[in-house]
Amino acid sequence: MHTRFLLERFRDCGSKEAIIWKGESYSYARLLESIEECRSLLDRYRVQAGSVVVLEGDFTPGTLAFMFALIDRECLIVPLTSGMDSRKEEIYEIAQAQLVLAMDAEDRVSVSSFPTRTSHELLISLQEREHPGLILFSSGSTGKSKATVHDFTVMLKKFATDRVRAGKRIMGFLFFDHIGGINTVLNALSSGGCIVALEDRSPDRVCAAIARHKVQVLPASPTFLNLLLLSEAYRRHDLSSLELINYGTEAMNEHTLTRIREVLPQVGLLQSYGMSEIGIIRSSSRSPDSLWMKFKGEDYETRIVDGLLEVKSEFTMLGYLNAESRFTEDGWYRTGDAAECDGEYFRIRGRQSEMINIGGEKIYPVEIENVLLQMDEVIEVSVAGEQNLITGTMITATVQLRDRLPAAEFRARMRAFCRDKLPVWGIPQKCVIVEELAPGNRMKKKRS
Amino acid sequence: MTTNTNKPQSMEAILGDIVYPALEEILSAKEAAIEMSETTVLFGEGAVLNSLELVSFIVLAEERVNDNLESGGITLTSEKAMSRSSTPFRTVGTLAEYIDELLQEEAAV
Repeated sequence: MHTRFLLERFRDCGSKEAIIWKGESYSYARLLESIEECRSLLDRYRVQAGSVVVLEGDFTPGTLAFMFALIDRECLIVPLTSGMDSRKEEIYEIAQAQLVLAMDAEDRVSVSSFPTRTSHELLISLQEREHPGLILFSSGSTGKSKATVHDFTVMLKKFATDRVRAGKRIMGFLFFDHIGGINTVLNALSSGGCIVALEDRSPDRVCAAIARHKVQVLPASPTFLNLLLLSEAYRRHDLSSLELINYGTEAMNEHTLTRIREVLPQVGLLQSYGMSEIGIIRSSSRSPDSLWMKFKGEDYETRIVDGLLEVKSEFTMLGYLNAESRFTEDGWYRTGDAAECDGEYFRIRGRQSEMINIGGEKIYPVEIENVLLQMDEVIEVSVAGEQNLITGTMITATVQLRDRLPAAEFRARMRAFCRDKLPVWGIPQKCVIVEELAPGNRMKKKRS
Repeated sequence: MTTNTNKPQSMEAILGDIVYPALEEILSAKEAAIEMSETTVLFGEGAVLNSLELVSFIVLAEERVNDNLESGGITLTSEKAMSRSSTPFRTVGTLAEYIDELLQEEAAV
């Protein structure tokens, strides 16, 4: 019943395109048929309301049909993509999974069930309320994956309000098991839009898909946008259909933002702020090339405490399955993002966990990367703090250079370049030159 | 002929191939010309480097030492170095002696 408004909209859309997968188009009518088939399968397996169901797939017609069938049945859904394969067992255990629906490369389902009993209080609270749930696992590049639990009915509320929105053609770039990917699905399909699935997230494949399927909205990470600039894939494909790039998931470099505006002047740029714990918050930037933003709507309250951003909203998660709460006693979520504020606008400086404290002075990797990226010699850079017995921490920059250059020569140029742009302690003490800096598995920058 | 060797190097080589070039790179970024000798003070009272420059300098010296080693390499800023009553980072000469000492140990393994 929680999906009733969605199913009604799907019906209204009828023959409109809902999903493009492997180049083939699937209409809303076909999506509804698939949802019906999924319902009978769930009946056959006697899947009850409140069951914890892992859904392994991607932006495929089958996966999305199951997602809506499961929401409708008030199940607790754990979306997973193949990127998490190595952690599956751990995830099944933490989520107390009872059923696994795994979609194969041809979008066919295989089902396995486990005789697990739900005992976690957050899961039980959803079962008692008879609300569908969403359990998202962080990629946990630095240790254990954290499982956030959301009430799906709350998440759907944002999309239920009758706003007149022209359905856009949106790229399924962010991952299906990521808050951004779930947001893409709900946003596209609740407004009669279309999701274009990708098999590969390389800049050329993404640009080719934009050109071929007339994609209008590209949600992407700053790391991907930087790869797009480096590859110059935008020169090789017709991106004239693109209206908006929505970026988030990590701090943006001013340099990347400026360059994107130069090469794609017709495209609007919108920063959103989001994390699994709080959902995706609609925001607006002070100006198109500004990193200062404010939240739109009255859904979210923000405050800065000790330099760190805190958010209060009904849309935040219920809690973690396997980690300490990050809520204050009065219900504010501690984001762990260091932020500055200027009136109603704020700017994210970086993750508190990535902050470099060098002899008592504080600086964030992205602030240093921002400067190094302005050097003509540099095409990509990743900055991290490294332990050092003299100053406690030293700053190491791992750089990919445009042309081969002796290390000493690069270091000299870097020091000279940074002198009037960074405080003395912010100039990297160590430089490692590498052939290629690969992004992390979620198209976010890796900082080791 | 490869120069890779685990054999200890002469003091002249340590000074000429490792310490002076690394120090020169750091000092070249400074405005005033500074003369380098074995008595040049690196750390503490009268030092030519501030603490951040010292870190950069040690990183460079360490890279230069390890570039010529076949084994895993030495670490200059270890607990051992920091806990000595007289720091090996005091002057160019003491640092060169310390590198020599570490190379001898490394070769003996």
